[in-house]
Amino acid sequence: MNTQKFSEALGEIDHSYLEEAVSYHRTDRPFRRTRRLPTALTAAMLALLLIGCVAAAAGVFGTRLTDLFTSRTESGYDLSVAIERVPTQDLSDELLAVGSAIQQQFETAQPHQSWYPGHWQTDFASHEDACQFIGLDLSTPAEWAQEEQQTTLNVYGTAHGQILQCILETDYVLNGIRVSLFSSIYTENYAEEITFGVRVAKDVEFEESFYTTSGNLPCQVIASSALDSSYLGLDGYLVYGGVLYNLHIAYQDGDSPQAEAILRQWADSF
Amino acid sequence: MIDDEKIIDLFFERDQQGIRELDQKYGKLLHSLAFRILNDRRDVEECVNDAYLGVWNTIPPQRPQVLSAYVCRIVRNLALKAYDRNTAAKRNSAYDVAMGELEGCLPAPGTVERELEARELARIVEGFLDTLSRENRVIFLRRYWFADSYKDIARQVGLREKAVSVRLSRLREKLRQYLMEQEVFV
Repeated sequence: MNTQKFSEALGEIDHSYLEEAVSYHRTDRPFRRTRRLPTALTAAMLALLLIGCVAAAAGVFGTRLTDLFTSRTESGYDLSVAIERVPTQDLSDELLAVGSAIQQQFETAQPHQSWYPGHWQTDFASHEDACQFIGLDLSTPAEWAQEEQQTTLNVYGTAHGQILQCILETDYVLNGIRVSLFSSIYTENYAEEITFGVRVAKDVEFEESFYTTSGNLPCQVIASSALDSSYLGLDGYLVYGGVLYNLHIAYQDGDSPQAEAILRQWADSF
Repeated sequence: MIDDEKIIDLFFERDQQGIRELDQKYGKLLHSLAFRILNDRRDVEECVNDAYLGVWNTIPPQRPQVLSAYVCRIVRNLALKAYDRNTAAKRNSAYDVAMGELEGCLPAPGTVERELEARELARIVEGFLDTLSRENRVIFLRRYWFADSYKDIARQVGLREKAVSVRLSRLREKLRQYLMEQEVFV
């Protein structure tokens, strides 16, 4: 099937679908003026995530906020990540074979194509299956296994077939709250300094705090004020065993206690 | 901004204020839609102006149920016509990128399967859209009808850019499977 024909067919679909796509933002996700975090939430976060600041600052491995900005066009923050690189010999043969596939991408890529070589992606039936494929045990709370929705592995490599980075995303819905766990590993081939940038919509404000897990690990927490969609964000960052873990929780205003509980449960599972 | 119904009434009254109101309300949306297909500011201006003329010439007698969808469709059709006229060298728009993503998931025609007309295929695409959640339907259409960027879609639906990318990848696979099940080859 050629894309032109498909495009023509798309042009013929009923207007109700277009109306939905045009108005989705305006009616269901109305523009909301960004505001500071509710006082109750801030207080709860502070109470919950009080200790650990010193541990995070003094720790060898972990994340550190290097930039944070809120503007009318874009908001976001950058984290500097201190993490040990994973030796490629620790990775499975299956994963290393992906390097060859990426090398082939570079060899066959044409400048006029709409995709860029260097990225390979696949889905797995479960987080456990993905871990077996990678060859590493990436942590996730055992009790969440039943709530898994999707597991996707993204692998980045070079023209020489070297694996640089792997990001495993596992999505969950926990008591109606959407949760994404990103587990990132950087191999010994990754020579550059590691930064982790988050960019979101305009006028979003962030608040940084720290939590010390029950295993005495420092966990950096970034809470964001509401997006245009009215969703708030709560992100936890934790480096453990050569893996950068990022738990992203998108939730609505009334679900703050549940979101905090999810973050705490995840962090304490290490 | 005034209601769509009032804008349509202005067209029925042959009052050119209707075009100004239409431009004020939907001009930004229409310009960005055309730009994602044409990637050229002058072509976009021409396309949107032609679309306004098209609206002027068709309302009345037509009274669209949804003005935004009606005018978006006109702009898209005109932009795609202009796109076809453009040289291959200019084909580097967001529309190209979005359509390029679909290439791999659209089943190629065999030797015996009949080809479908666009309208017939549109009904099948609608069937596919009906299988999706509302959010996924919006994500799919914002990408492949409006050629929106991942970033813009992420802002609209409150997801991360990366999550939108993953979601679209899965939607393309779902589309591929759906078309195969429907034995659609075009």
